[in-house]
Amino acid sequence: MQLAFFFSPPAPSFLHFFPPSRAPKPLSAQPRPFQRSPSPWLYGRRHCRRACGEGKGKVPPRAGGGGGRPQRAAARGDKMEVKDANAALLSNFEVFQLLTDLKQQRKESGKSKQSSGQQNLNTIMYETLKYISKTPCRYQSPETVRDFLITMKGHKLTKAEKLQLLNHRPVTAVEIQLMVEESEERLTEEQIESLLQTVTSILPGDPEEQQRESPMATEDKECSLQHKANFWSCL
Amino acid sequence: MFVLVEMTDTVRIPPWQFERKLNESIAEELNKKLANKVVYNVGLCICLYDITKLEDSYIFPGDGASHTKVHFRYVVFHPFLDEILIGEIKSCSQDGVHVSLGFFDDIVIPPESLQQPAKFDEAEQVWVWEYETEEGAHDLYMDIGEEIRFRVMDETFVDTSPTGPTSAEASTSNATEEVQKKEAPYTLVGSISEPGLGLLSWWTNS
Repeated sequence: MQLAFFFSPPAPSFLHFFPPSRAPKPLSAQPRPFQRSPSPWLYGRRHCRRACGEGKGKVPPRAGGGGGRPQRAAARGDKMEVKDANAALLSNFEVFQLLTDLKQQRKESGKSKQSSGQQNLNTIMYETLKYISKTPCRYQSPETVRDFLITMKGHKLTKAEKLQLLNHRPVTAVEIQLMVEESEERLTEEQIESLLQTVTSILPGDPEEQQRESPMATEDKECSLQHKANFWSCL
Repeated sequence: MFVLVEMTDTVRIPPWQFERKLNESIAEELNKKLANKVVYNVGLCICLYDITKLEDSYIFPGDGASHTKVHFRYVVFHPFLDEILIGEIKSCSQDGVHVSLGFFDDIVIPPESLQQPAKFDEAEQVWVWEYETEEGAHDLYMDIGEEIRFRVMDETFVDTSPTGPTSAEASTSNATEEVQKKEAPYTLVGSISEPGLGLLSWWTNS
C-alpha cells in the first residue's frame, strides 16, 4: 500500500508568521467553511434560549442595528446610493482649491498610506490639476469670484452661463455668443461690450495682471472635513 | 464641468485601522473606492468634497471590522448639455476627432459636427477644414496636440458591470464580451460646427 504518497511529511507551518486573524478579509465576507449559512449565530442563540427554557416559542430579537453578517447589510439595501446627482455646480476654481488643499494635506501627512489603493486618487488628482492649471482659474481667488458674481447679478444671465464665463474668461464677442444662449436676442452690442469689460477687469488673466491680484485668503481650517457652502448655493 | 453629488454608502474599516481617526479612514476608503471611476448615470468621480453625516458604526458577528453608514458629497466630472469645453486633440480617425481633457479621454467629435466643409486627409490622418475666403480655400488642419474648443452635444453611459456566465452561448458570447469590455463607460459627443468653436488658433485676433 503506497500510503506514503498521501501522507507527506508535515510542511512548515507559517501560521505563526501570518496568524489568520490578521489576514485581510474581502469586503463581502464569504462564509467560512465551518460556518453554516444563513447565520449560525442566530440559530445558536435560539437553541440556547430554548434549551434554557426562556422565550418559548418566541424568536429572540436581533441585537443592535445589524444582527447579521455583512451579507445581511447588503440584502437590506445598504449599498451605495446616489441621493442627488446634481446637488450643486462647482466652478473650476473651487475644484482647483480643493485639490491643492488635498495635495498639501497628503504631502504633510507623509507616505503612511498604502500606495496601491491610493493610485487612482493620485492619478485623477494629478491629471485634473494639470488640466485646471492651464485655465484662467489659477489666477482667481475667492474674492474675485465673489466680486464677479455680485457684478453679474445685474446682467440677467443664467447660472450655467455665469459659470462658463467664470471658467473660461472670454475676451472676444464670439466667445460670449457661444456661452450665452440666444445672445443676439437677449443682449445688444453695448451689453456684450460691457460684459466683456466686466469679465476682463474683474477676473485676472495674464501673468502681468497677477501682481494686482490679492493673495489667496487663508482662513483657519479646522480638522473637520466639512467644507463651507460653495459660492453657487448662495445665488 | 464639475458637479457635487450627494451619496450614501456603508464603509468598512478593518480592525487594524481602528487607531486612526474615523474621519480620515472613511475619507481614504471612499477615495479608494470612487476616485477616477465612473458611476453609472452620474459621471467620473474625482475626489471627496466632504462628509455630511456619519451614522453609528456597527460590528457584525463573523467580521471584526466596523461598518459605518456615511452621507458624503463627491466632486464628479459631469459637463451639462451645451457646455463649452477646451480640450486637446488626441487623434483623428474616420469616426471623427478624438479629444482628451487629460483626466477624461472619451470625447469624440463626429464628422458631421465639424466645421463644414471638412475632409479627412488620408496621408496625414487628420481632419481638415476647407475654409473659403475671397482669396481662396484655406486648408486648416486639426493637428494632434492642438487645443480645441467644443460644445458638449450628447453623453452616453454604458453599464460595464460584469455579467454572469451564459451557459448556452458560452463560445459565441466570448467574442462579444471582449468587444463590450473595451467600451468606455462614459463617452461625450462634441460639436464644433459654430463660429468660435474649433482650434483656438483659428479664432484668436493676432
